[in-house]
Formats: sequence, C-alpha cells, structure tokens
Amino acid sequence: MLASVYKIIEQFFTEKSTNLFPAKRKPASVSEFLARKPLIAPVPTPPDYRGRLAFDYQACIGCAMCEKVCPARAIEMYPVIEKEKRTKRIVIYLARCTFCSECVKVCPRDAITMSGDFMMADYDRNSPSLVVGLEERRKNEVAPEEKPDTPQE
Amino acid sequence: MSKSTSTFPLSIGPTHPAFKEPVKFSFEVDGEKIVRTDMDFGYTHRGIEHVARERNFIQVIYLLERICGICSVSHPMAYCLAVENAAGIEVPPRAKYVRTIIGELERLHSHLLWTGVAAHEIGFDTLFLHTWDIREKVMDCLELLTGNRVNYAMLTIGGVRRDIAPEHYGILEETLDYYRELYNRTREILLEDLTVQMRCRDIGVLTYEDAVALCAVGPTARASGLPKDVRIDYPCNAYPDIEWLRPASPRDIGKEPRGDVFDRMIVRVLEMKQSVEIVGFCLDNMPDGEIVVESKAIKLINQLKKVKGDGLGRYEAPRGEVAHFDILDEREGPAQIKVKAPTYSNAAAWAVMFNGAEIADIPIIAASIDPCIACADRMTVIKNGCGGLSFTAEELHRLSVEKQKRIKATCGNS
Repeated sequence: MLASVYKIIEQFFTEKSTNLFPAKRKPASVSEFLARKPLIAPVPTPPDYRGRLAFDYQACIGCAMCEKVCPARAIEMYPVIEKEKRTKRIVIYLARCTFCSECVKVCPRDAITMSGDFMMADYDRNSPSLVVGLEERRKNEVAPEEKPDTPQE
Repeated sequence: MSKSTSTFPLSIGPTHPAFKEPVKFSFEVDGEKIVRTDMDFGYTHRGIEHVARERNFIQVIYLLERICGICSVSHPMAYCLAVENAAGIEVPPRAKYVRTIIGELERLHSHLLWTGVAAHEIGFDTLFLHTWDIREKVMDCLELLTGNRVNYAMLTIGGVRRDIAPEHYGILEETLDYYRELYNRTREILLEDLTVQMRCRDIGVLTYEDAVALCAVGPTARASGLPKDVRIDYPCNAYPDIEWLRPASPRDIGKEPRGDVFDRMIVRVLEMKQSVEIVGFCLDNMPDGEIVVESKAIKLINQLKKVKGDGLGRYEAPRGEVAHFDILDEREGPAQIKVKAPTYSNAAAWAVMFNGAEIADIPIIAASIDPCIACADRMTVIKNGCGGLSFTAEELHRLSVEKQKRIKATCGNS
C-alpha cells in the first residue's frame, strides 16, 4: 500500500515527457500560439533505428534483389536507360513498408539506407513524401521494353 | 436454445470494451452467477498461413512477426527453428545467446504489459500506469538492440541479424539492475496489496486436473501447479546451458498453487525475475563468433530451395507454447505452414474458469490467460455469407485427414 502512495507522490516531481493538449479553447492564431509555448521534443531515437528509407539513384545497379526480399512488396521496379543501357531502378512505397531493413542489408551497392526519421504521417499514401525515389522516376522513367515474344505484324 | 425460467443468456462481444480483441462469449447466467459458457472465435482471421505459402523464406519471417504484436519474436523464433530443423542448419552459439536475450526481454515486457492490463481490468489504474511506466525501460532497451520497439526484425534463418555491440553491454546491465532494484517494490504492490488480492484470489479457478485435461500451456498451466515449460522440457537456444532454470510456480514463494487469477499473477511476477536473471546469465557467458550461418538473403533462399522435408519448431512465448510446423518442398518458400498459438490451447480453459464466476469478474478472468485472439484465429467458416456453422470432433478429424492427403498430393511424397 505504501509503495503505491510513494509512487503517486513521486509523480509530482518527475520531468514530463508528454505534451498536454496545448489549448483549452481555439486560439486566435494557432501558429503564434505554438511558437509562444515550446513543446517538449520527442524522445531521440537510438543510432541504429529503422526509420525512413533513403534511396541513392546513382549507386543503384538495378539487380532487383531488394524487390525479391521485400516482405511487404513495397518496392516497385521501373525501366530506365542509364549509360545507353536498358536497366531498372526502384521506388519504395513507405505506406506499405514494414521497416524490416532487409532491403538495406541485401543491397550490394548500399544504395538504400535508413535514417532516424519516424514522423511520416500524411493524408495521401502516394504523396511524394511517402514514395522514396519518386522524383527520379518522374525524371528518368522510359517506356517499358517491348517483349520479343509478342507477335509482330 | 432451450428456454429456462431460472437462467437467461448474456452475450458479450464480438467487440466489447472489456476485451482487447474480438471474441464472442455466450453466457448462461443465474442472477449474477455464470452457469454455462460458450465461445465463438474467428473475427480476426487474416489468412496468414495462406499468405505465407505465397512468399519466400525471408519474407515469411516478417509476415509471421505480425501474427502477434507482443510475441513478435516468438512466432519468427518458432518458424526459424522449424526451418532450421527441416534443413539441418546449426545455429552459431553466439546467435543462440542473442536470441535468448531478445526472447527474455520480450517476455519481461509482455508480462509487465499483462500486469498493467490485469490491473486496469480490476479498476486499479494507478498500478496499470505504474507497470507501463517501468515497462518503458525494457522497450527502450529493445529499441536500442533491434532498432524498433515492436516487430524487432531480429531473427533470420540460421542466426540473428544484429549483434549485441560492446557498448550495449553497459546499458543492458544498467537496465537489469533497474529491474532487480524494482523487483521488491513491484512485488509488494502486486502480491501484497489488498486491492489486488480481493479481486483475484479464488477467481477463475483452473484446477490441476482441469489444466491437464484441457492442455493448458504457459503461465496458465504453471499457476495450476503444472511444471510445464518448453524452455525446460524441449530446450532450444541458450536454455540448455542454464542449469538452474525451473518452471516458475507459486510454491517458490511458499504458496500452494490454487490455479486462480492471483496465482497467474504470482507466476508472471516470478517469471519477470527469472527473465532478468536469464539475460544476466547470457551477458556473462556470451560466446564469441559468428552470429549467422549465411548472411546473404538470396543465397540462403537458394540453399533452402534445394531442401525437401518438414520440421517442427517449439518455443515458449510469454503466453505459453507456440509451435510451427513447416513443410519444405523445393520451393522458394514454405510449401505448407501451420501455426499453433498459445491462446488456442488456453482458450478451452476459459469454459471451466468462468463456471461459478460473477459477471463483474468476466474481464479479469478473460484477461488472466493473457489472450491473443488474433494469434489463435487460424480458421473461419463462411457459408452463404453468414457464419453459424459448427463441426463435431469427428467431422473436424475427417476434414484434417482430407487436408493432409491433399497436402501430400501437392507436395509430392514428402
């Protein structure tokens, strides 16, 4: 019994790690209100945290190994022409991603890396912030190669 | 349903605030007393076994991690043990120790979580917040070691994916000391506080005979006096090296097991202490060497592609025994996979526990086996768009024999 009472008293003197909802009623200007009262920052992530993925377009060789091991099938390949050769590059849909870091480990050129960023909420699952490598795709994607076995007229 | 003048039916679920997951209970109550219990599962069936058959060996690990959010190392552990068993892969000793450490830290956080849930169910919310507060320390530790708070992505076939670095030892030892210091105070709140005793003593009793007959597993069985623990009975990982490990029992603190909710709490509190000591043992006796047999995922898949055979993996999850049975048939992924979760074994015990209990005790009795309905839902039957089909034991046996024949036909003669 005393242990619980001791715990409750202790709580009054510990540092807070969460933010109370900042306002009781709607302030005149939300941004001004938030700037006036600094919020308690999120707890820092450890060094090897599995957060947002980053993709290095230049380092990628299009081997498709990451696509094969991805458990969520979040990696999509698209055709590009690099150095006058037909090859492939990837986009990663973070909305599907399970953050297992299997693609990071399997990549022979270390083209995929993970960061400590975990704040990724968005309204649209296909928004540019949730599709890694979308900008490069828009710039470099070419029409898919015609399959040689299609009947020719 | 037959109409009776003295009892009336009380249906709780499928979704109800008292339960964390969808399960439907149909009680027959006589005033406040429950006289008969019927259960209905299948509201969270996700077809994981079917999905697993269409993925390769590496992808399946992360899929199975998501069978249960709390036992997110137990299911992949059982799967990896099963595949290693089938393919004859010997795990390096260091990997075995790392696996044990992660498994025991998971047990510690799962039991702390359960204690909080149980306290919440009896309306003791101060204790609920206190246990979840001290749980943060082990969650931070797991985050540091594996890179995430849940779904650790730590295991792979033939080893582990991350090593425990030299700088982690200090932090781990610090965490263990924190829990060793806290143990006495937490035990006092949990086991000597009158509020907890009043709500948990002689509630939801599962006798020794019933526990044997209904095949209870895990802390539920141990609270009924059954010395049953996969870590000791069928040791894997580093458990064979730990000679002092015994199944936890209320007898350890000088109480005769009665098989009630309070005994389940005692067993879990003792197991938390046990887990801390096991992690300490593993840190002191950590062997050097490799942490994985084959670190390249594609190479590993190609190796397993040549294997034909089957394997069984058993592991003691925080809630009880989890068993995976895999058939490998020269494919990129498992040809067949069967999951047996601990709640599947323990759910039958509910029918006995609820007998004679009061309506107000339903939440705590339901929570006392630490149910994970999503783990246990392996089958759902739908006919003409509505449920309500029931099978007898003979019909289920016939269906399982038919399925076994079908599997054998599709997998050659393995």
